[in-house]
Amino acid sequence: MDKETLKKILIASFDYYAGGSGNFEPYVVIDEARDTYIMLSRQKDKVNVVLMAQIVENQIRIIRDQTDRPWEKRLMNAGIPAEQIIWE
Amino acid sequence: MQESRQNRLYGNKALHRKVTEFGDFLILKANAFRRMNGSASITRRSPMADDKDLALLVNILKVNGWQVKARPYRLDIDDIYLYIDLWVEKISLVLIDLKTYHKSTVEFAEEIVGTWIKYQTAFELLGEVKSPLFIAMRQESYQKLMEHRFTQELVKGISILVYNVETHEIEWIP
Repeated sequence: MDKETLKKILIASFDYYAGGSGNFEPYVVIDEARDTYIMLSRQKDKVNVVLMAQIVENQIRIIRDQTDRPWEKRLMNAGIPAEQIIWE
Repeated sequence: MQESRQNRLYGNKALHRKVTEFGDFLILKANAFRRMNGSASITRRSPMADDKDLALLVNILKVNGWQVKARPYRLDIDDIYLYIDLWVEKISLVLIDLKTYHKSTVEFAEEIVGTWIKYQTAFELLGEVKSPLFIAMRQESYQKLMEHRFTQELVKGISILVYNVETHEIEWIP
């Protein structure tokens, strides 16, 4: 799968994690220059990284997944081959 | 620069003003992000098997007069983030997490117990979630659980929502 498609699927995957409602406010950060994609949570003055990944050499490198709904599984279900997803 | 980048990512000029740009970064408040993403020409992914079951459950709940307030319902416990499938309302508000039978009966029961303990622990720590939680499953999955004394015992005390995909009937087992 090419890099542009990886990027589109990665960005689309934030839709689930940032959706719905609950006790934190989600933000999505896209750093195209470094091919880095982040979802932050904010609750009052507390900000944390929920999800963070980078695209490196046609692979998605998951740097952080603090959820109980594995990001890797969602990405694979969206069509990304397992060999194109790695954990840092 | 900003316009072309967003066009590439989202293909929607009208929503550019929703975005804050800091140098190389795009920072999007989630609501704006979701609207942009929803209107984009991003390749549609094939839904997960669980997503199909969830869509079916939502439909059955709607038939029974329930309204979906959130899908999913998000919780944060410090830096751990939990997602409960549904938050629905009719007379009262209820949280629902769907479990799909796809393993052995014992593993299925184990998954239900684990999920129940996870969320109950979160509720205790947060102390602010007032809606009761139900674990939803198809009627045939519930019957499989009830076939064995051991799995029956494992799920004892867990609130379960049983739904019938043919008749659209639902049963709340508190």
